[in-house]
Amino acid sequence: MKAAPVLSPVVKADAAWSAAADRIARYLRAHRLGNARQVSRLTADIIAIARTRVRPGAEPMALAMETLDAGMVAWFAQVLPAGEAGHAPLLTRGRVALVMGEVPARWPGHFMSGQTVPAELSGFMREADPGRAPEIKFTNMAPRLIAEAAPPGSRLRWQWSYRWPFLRIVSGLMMVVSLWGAAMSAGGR
Amino acid sequence: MGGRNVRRRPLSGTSMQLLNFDPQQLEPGRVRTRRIFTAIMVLLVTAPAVVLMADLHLRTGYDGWKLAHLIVFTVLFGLLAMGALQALLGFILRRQGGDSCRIAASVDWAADDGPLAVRTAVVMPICNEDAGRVMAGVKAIYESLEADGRLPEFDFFILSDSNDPTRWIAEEVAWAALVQELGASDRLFYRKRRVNTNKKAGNIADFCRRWGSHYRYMVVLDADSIMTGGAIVALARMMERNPGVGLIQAVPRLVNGETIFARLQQFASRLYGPVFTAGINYWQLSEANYWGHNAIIRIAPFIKHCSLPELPGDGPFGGRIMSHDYVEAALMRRAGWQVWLAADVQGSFEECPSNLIDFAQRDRRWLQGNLQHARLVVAPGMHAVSRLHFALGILSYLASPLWLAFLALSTAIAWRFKATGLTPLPVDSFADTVEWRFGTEAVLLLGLTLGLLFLPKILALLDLRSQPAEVAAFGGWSRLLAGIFLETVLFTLFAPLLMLFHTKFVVLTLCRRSVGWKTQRRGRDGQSDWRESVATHAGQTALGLVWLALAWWINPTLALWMSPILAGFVLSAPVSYFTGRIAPGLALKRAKVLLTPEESAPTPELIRLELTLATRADASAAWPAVDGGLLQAVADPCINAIHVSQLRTRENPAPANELRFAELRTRLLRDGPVALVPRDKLALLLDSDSMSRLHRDLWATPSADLASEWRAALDHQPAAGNGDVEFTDNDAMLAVK
Repeated sequence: MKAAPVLSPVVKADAAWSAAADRIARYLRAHRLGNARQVSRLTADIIAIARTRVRPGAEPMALAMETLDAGMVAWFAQVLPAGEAGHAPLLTRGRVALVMGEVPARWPGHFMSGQTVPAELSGFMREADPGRAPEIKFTNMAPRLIAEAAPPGSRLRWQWSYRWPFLRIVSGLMMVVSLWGAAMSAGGR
Repeated sequence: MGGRNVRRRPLSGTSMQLLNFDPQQLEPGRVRTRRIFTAIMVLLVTAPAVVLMADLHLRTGYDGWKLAHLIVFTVLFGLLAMGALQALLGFILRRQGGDSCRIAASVDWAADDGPLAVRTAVVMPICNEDAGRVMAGVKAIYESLEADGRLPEFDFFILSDSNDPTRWIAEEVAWAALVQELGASDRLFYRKRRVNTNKKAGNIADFCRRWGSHYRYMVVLDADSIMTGGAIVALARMMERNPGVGLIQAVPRLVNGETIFARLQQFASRLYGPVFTAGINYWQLSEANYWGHNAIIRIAPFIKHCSLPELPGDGPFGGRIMSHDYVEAALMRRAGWQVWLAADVQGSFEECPSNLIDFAQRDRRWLQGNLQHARLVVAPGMHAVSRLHFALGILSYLASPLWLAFLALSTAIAWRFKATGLTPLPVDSFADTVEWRFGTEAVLLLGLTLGLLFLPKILALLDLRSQPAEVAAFGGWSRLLAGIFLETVLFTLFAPLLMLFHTKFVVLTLCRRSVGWKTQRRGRDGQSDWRESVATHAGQTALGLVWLALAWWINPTLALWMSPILAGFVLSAPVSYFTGRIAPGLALKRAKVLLTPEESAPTPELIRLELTLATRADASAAWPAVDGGLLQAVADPCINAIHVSQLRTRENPAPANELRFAELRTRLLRDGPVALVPRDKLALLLDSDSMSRLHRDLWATPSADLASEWRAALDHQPAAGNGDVEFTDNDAMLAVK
């Protein structure tokens, strides 16, 4: 059973606009929008607006996506803090907040709806950010040649007190082997 | 080895408490005594064996072959003796209640339980790893710290060097999901390096340069590391207590093995490890080593002294320092900072290769890195023990070609013996007072060798005698002994194979054949494969058969003596395959054979890890096998947004670059990812502007103008479903079902 068309005014569509509508619907659903009616309504609205913006040489699909981008930017600007300059950063930030805040699942129907954005939704989106590492404070860590001498003030150096014990161990090893052999050999004579 | 350095200090209140070990007060004379004592013990065990071997040769007359045989034997037996004596020293110390000179004894654990004074970074460098496993590990560690109420004192950094786009994008998606799940956007960070200069050491150095000044310490983990919150806090507390300590290495226990090979390793390391590590600490003390992960590092001196240069010349001996950990520990020590092994910190884990071939491949990297250290043994200013670490690291791999040379020399001597027709002289020996016969001396030598080989096993069992709960955790005495028997048999078969692998790797390295870095295969991916096993071990099998025939022809007794080694060669393919399969490993686990305490009573962190891995949904599994990451990062709006949000925005891009990127984008969408070389794909993935544009252009381009891969990627996105928009054929109007 068909529901009543929600599009007003009803528009004639050729194949290109049909493909554009399909693409917009897919795109919205790719944002995890699970509410079919909402997707339909938004798609219809976007196509309707895009059709008013027809210009020579512009593909319906490109026009529709342009319209959708503009709509998303406008909605994100309502809910996210200012300061994200430019078009792409706000779109990016908004999309991240949308998915991290699970907005379509928590507030179905609100995305790009034109309704007043609930304060809770807005707060959630502002908080929803995978975050960035703390501010970078560069420290010099230039590679140094291994052959460089031990740094000044080092508490340990290549000292005789450390070198001799090992020389002593080596000579001791040789001595014990010699003594052992000599004892075994001499004992029988 | 007493507690001379244990002193008392007054604590608050009226009580006096046994006070803690202070590493700064460690007397050089005492350290020296321990080391000389260890060396003399090694000597006292080695010398009789060398004399016996020398005497055996003396009976039939010396020649060049026998002299070479004796020299090789001396080196090999010395290494064997050193290992066994470390176990003996460790056993004695543990029987006495533990070494008084250990870093954990520097903290009064009962009194010192407050919050840490500074924040610590937990860093995990990764490179093309399974993102799901990495995040599951991070999650387990994070939740452990959270459960202990210590989370505010730590920040987590996942430092990616992945250059496989699909792995990289999967990491970003998994990380974002984990941040979302844990609510950790202010504490769990991800950073992908644009250029992988100097691999893992460079990855850590990059972290230090950018964020090192924010933290006093960093806990370095590996991709498969798991540490409990308690272990991490313990390491940080030991650092706080000892301002002269630059690095503390915790001993990671091997866990999560499923194949027989992996379970053998974790069983052996778990059973024999405690006595060995206690013995190692006895002589290393404040000049211990760094194993590259599961360690805490004081960042300021690390930045100042441990930035690694490239060694002069090309690989394999020049260029990038491959085994950076030993060098970093040596540099830290050279600068006067102590390096300790925390043998008794519990809750430090890692995983191990699942099969012999993967194990050998990992060894090839380590081997080249260790041989490279030959240039650093004589580097100026290094501490003598650091030089010894380098030398022992080299010897641990050179022991394989030496052992092969020993076997070849043994065979050659036997053959020459047969050719001359000589028989052993009954008394012509410099040990003629004892009047041992040739055979008696040979058996004695064999007994001494076997005694040293089995000594750590016996000591480990004796060590367990006073710990019934631990014995039960190993499955009880009968299963424990069955495990030791199985482990002994299988390691007897593995050892000659590793000898051949190492020898081949040493030769390749000396022929200046460098090795690349290969990500360790884990879980089911790490199972052995028949074709790989046969292809890898065919040469070893053939060698074993030829050698066996030769030994039999020379003297059947020689063949009998060499049979344990030659059996390893001949049976290499089936043994390697069978021990690298999961099913037999799990069957043994069900039978509680090779059981470890971590398997019988896993810590909450290990349980959490297993649960996460069992229930995780791997988003990337549904991606196309080829270029899946790139396709998703462009097509999926959510993944694209997460990816772009992590990229630096280019400021004032050069027009030439703009043109190049524009051309690449056009080709990518029109002709598909196959039209671009990997370097260009990576360049696009690293460019935030290009990734945003690609996403927009893809969705705005009619399907007919897109490459088939993109059409498939768009089709992969959720399609219009029930209730969605469609144009009906008859009225061509936008309608809603």
